[in-house]
Amino acid sequence: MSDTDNDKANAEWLVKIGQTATAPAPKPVTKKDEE
Amino acid sequence: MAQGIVNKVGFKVGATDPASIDLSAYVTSFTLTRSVDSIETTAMGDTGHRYVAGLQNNSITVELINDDAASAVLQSMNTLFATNAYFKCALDKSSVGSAANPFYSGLILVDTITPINGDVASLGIQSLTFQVSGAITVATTGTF
Repeated sequence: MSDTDNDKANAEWLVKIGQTATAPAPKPVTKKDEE
Repeated sequence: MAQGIVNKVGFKVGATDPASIDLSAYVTSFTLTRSVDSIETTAMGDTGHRYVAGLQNNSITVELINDDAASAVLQSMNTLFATNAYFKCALDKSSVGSAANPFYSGLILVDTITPINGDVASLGIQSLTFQVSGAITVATTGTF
């Protein structure tokens, strides 16, 4: 599991347990991330 | 940094990602423990116990000066109590991320706080241990 996948899994899990209403939008991919 | 004392640790918490409440200035002691379950796979023919890594089981132990100002320790922990809070920590908050200074982040269950703790002659502190919920993200780029 990549680090990005882990962040996404955490956000989705918070929704599942009812702590947050909706998962936040994915972070925009920056040029730096692509390098 | 090669060898050195541990006086630059960064520690942030918050209700949203990324953690934004910087409690570093109140940290007097910090331990990040990364661990995985060891799953035994020993079978016939083996002459010693064999194991593979299972689920991550990480924790953070931190001692904080119990400052009661807004966005400091007392009020932040009171707000985050009984929730899964985002955290971010680093060995050196002032240096950029690298293999020598990774940034660790994820969720902790804030299941215990000590909003009142101390004696008449001592500084009020919170000495806390949190289980990490899920895995830890490790970043070797960016800034704290």
